Amino acid sequence: MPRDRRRFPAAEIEANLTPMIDVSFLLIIFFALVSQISDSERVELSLPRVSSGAAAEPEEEARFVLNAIPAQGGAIGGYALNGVIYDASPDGVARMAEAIAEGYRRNPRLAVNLRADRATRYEWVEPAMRATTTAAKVAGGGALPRLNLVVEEERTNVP
Amino acid sequence: MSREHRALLRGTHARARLGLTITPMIDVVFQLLIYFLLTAGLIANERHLRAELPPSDDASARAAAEDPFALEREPLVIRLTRTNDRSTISLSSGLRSPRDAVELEVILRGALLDTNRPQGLFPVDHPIRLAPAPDVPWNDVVAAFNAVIAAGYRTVAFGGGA
Repeated sequence: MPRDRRRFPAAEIEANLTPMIDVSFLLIIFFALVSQISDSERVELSLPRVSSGAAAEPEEEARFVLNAIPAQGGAIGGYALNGVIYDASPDGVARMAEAIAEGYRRNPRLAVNLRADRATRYEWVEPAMRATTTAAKVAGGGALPRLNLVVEEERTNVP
Repeated sequence: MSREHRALLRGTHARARLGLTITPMIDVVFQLLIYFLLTAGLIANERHLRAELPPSDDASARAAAEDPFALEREPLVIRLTRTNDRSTISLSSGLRSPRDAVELEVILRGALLDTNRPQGLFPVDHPIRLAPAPDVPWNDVVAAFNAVIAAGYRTVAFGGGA
C-alpha cells in the first residue's frame, strides 16, 4: 500500500485565477471605452466659479452636453454638442438647434448641460441658450428648455 | 528504499500544496484605484445651476390671454455692463447698484417678500431678467445668476442686454 501512495500522489489544490484575469481585462476594456465617451462630451476649459448656494450636484438624467469651445480673447472656436462640432455662425447654430430639437422629440424632458469657459464673452454663450429655447419650441410636445449651467464650486476653508 | 528517501518523496510529491496567487488581484485593484482617483479628480467639483428658460417669446402674452384679470408684473432687470475690464451690476426698481455678485445676493435677499420678511418687495416667483452686455465674461453672468437663485428667487430669464 505505501508503494501505491507513492505512485498516485494527493491532488494539488490551487485557486484557478484565469476567470479573474478574464474579468479584470473586461473591466479594463469597459472603463477605457466609458472614459473615451466621457472625453468626447468634455472639452478642456476653465468653468465659471461660484461661491456657494444655488449650485447642485449633477443628476442622473437624459442630457445633451453643449460645450462652447474657448478661443483667444473671450471668443469661441465653435460649439461641441455631444462631441459633434458646429461652427459659431448663424447657420451652425441653426443646425445645432435642429440636433437639440431631435433630442427633445425623443425625450421632452431632456436637459442640456451648457459648459463654457469663464472668460468667454456672453455674446458667444447666448446663441447656445437661444438654440436650446428654439429647439424646445420647434420640437413641441410639451418640451421645456431645461438648461444646466455647468460651474465649479469654490471650496471655502472652514475655520 | 531508505527512510530519508521516503521522507524526501513525501515532501516533494505526497504533501498537498495550498497556494493562492494574489498578484493579478493586486494588479487589478491598483488599476481600478488609479482609474477612480483620476476620474474623481476631474469631475468632483463640477456642479449644475438649473435654469428653466421661458418656453417661448410669447409665453407672457399667452398667460395674459388665459387670465385677463392677471396683472402683468414688471420684471426686475439686472443689467451687467463692462467698463475698464470690470463688470458692473445695476438694478431696476430703484434698488441700489451692488459692487459685486455677493452684494447682489444680499440686496436681493433683503428685497424678498415672504412670511419672515413682510416688508419685502418681491415674492419668490417674481420675474427677474438678467441682461448682460455682449462683452461681459461668462463667469460674471453665472455669478449674478447664482446670486439671484441663492437669494431665493425662482423665475429668472436671460436676455435684453445692452
